[in-house]
Amino acid sequence: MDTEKNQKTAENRIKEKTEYPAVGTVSIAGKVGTSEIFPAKKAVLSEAGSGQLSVMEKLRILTDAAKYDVACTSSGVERKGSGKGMGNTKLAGICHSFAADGRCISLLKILFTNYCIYDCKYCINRSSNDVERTAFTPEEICELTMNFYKRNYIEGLFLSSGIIKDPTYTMELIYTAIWKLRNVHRFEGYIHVKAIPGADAEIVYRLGLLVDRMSVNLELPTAEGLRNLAPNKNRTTILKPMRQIQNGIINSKEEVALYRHAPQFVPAGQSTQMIIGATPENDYQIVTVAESLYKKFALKRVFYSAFVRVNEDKMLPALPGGPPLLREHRLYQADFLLRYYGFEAGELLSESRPYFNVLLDPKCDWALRHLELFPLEVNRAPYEMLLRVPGIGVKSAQRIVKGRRLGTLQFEDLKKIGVVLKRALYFICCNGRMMYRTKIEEDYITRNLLDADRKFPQQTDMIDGREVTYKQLSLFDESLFNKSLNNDRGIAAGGAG
Amino acid sequence: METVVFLCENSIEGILTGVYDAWKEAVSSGLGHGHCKLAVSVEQPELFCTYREIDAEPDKAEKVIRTLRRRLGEEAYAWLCYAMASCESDKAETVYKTIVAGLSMEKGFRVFDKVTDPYVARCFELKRNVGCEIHREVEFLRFRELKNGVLLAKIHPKNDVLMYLGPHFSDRLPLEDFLIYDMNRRKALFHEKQKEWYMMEALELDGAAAENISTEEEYYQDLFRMFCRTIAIESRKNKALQRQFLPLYYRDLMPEFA
Repeated sequence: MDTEKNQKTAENRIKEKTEYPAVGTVSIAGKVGTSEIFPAKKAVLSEAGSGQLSVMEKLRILTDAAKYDVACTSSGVERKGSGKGMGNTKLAGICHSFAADGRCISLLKILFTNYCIYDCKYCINRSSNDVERTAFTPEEICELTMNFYKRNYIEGLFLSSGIIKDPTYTMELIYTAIWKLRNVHRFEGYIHVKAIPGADAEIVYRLGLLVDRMSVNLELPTAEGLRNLAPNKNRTTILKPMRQIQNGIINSKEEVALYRHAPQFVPAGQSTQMIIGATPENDYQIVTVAESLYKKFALKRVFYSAFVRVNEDKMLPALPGGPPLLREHRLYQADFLLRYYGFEAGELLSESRPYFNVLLDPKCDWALRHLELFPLEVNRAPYEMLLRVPGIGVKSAQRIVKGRRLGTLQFEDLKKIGVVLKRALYFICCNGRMMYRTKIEEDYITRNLLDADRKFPQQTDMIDGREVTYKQLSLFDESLFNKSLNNDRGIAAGGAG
Repeated sequence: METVVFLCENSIEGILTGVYDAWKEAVSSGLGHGHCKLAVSVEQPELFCTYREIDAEPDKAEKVIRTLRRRLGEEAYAWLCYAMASCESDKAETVYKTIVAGLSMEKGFRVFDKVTDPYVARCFELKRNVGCEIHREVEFLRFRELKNGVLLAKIHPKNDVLMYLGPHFSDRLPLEDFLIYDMNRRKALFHEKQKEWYMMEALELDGAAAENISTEEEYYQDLFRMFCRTIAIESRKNKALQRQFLPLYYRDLMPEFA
């Protein structure tokens, strides 16, 4: 078939297409009449409404208002399309673009409205701020989502909202939009919504049956921080829906095991996020909070968001070096160590050492403090120990374990497997031999690790008129922390992947 | 005795036909697999080599596929197919020798665990490369809506990944008519509403028809462009990180970078 012919058949098909697929489904849906759907399409297209903001303007305002929310992941659930709508979901999630800050764009991340009755100090949408306010209609959200999704711009919708009237009312609005998207537009892609603390349990449950992921923002790591900066919120109302969602997920899994077609409640699990650097908590406190969230609330992810000072407020810290991106980066590294590498928060940090090493990642840092365990024989070491070697990730460790059953591994094999030898070589040996002649000595390895990364000069440095040796560098030092924050922005990774 | 190089067609069918013939030659000559090589193209002919050009034969390829699925399992077979979609010139030889390694093992499904075998390691590398590009096209490919309602995406992948996009997009957009066109290989993947997808080779894209976009198309491109611009946080700006995740190579076909 040539292209021209294809064009023709396509034209024929388009005649059929004028029978809008939603029409068939509307009668099933019941709640929404056809008249409500079609004008919506026109409304999207009319750029300048009479006195009202255009969709373009609304999208700009409500994207701008949503951008400080971190999570943009579309992972956690694998679902095939039913063949009667549009969309499916992938277990690993799919990023569709990357913004200029290097963060992924996976979902259409917008607020339903940026009107808000709360006055949280750190938030751009707080009620005392003089910003342009607007709200989407459910139809506008549906049209945007469907049209973006169809063009492969996005993986789904991430809908959050300012609090309008009260939490339950706001969640009802979100529900209306999501219900329409699922039942009228037959959208089967990924949907992530925020559960708003203080909303009725009943609406949280109903919404949970329509979406893939729900998240409740922890906002700040400790209850005290929350009291200071978010006077309208409190820890108890935040943890309550979190627990409800956790129980809902457990119950739903049991039901699905019994009845295969039972509706699924939040199948991709729940996540949360907290702001880093707005309040004086140390890294140890933050990691401990994250660990207990994983253990006690079975969260899929905890997201960390380097505090961006968008409001002038005496309660907020000044950040001359910009947002604490390196700190955020170290927290994400530690988070992965907790979730995939079998580490415990107490192994990485302690009361007496409450901050991460600025120069080394938490895994290298841990290994250097446990040199008595190294070098490790790659051909014999247990999987759990391989995971603890800097430069060996989960995939490499799995391939090592499989590969060594069929032959003795050499360093060149490790390289092909994907082991980062420039980091790993100080900690491993193959058949009793290390790759080069190296000392198993903290100072020596530290110096070489830093050199191999070529991020810091080999010779000793002069900082604030003091000569700093590498021994001193490996200790936490406030002035250095700020310095590397400024210099080292490049290594801070995007919030969500 | 001289090495025999089997020159096969650059396709799964072609390469597997080559595997069949090379295997036969290796056994019948009694010289083993070291005596045979596979190639999809000749850049510099080697001395002391016999070149034998072979056409793809579906029957032979089918036999090899059956053996691979039975002895190496579905996963290893799928990975071999990925490797055969690679743009690297040594892929045919790599796949052939990996198959030899796999079929010599008692538990052939573990062939890709044999990381100490250089051919297997290379095959894994090719497979990973192709897998990554498939994933990138799934992420970064963009459809444009034409006047007649057809969604059109143009791509220019380095590896021959078009075929692997079919299952994903037809499951995702079952009620849409769409067409994905590989500009490098001049072939296209078609999907008609509620039908199975299929592919056609040696096609030219009608430039005028491809530019005949629907009235809403530019509007949604503008909306998305604005969305991408707005979502970035100014004080976190990091172009290097953006480039690491989204190589410039793919951006020319993405509306948000237009």
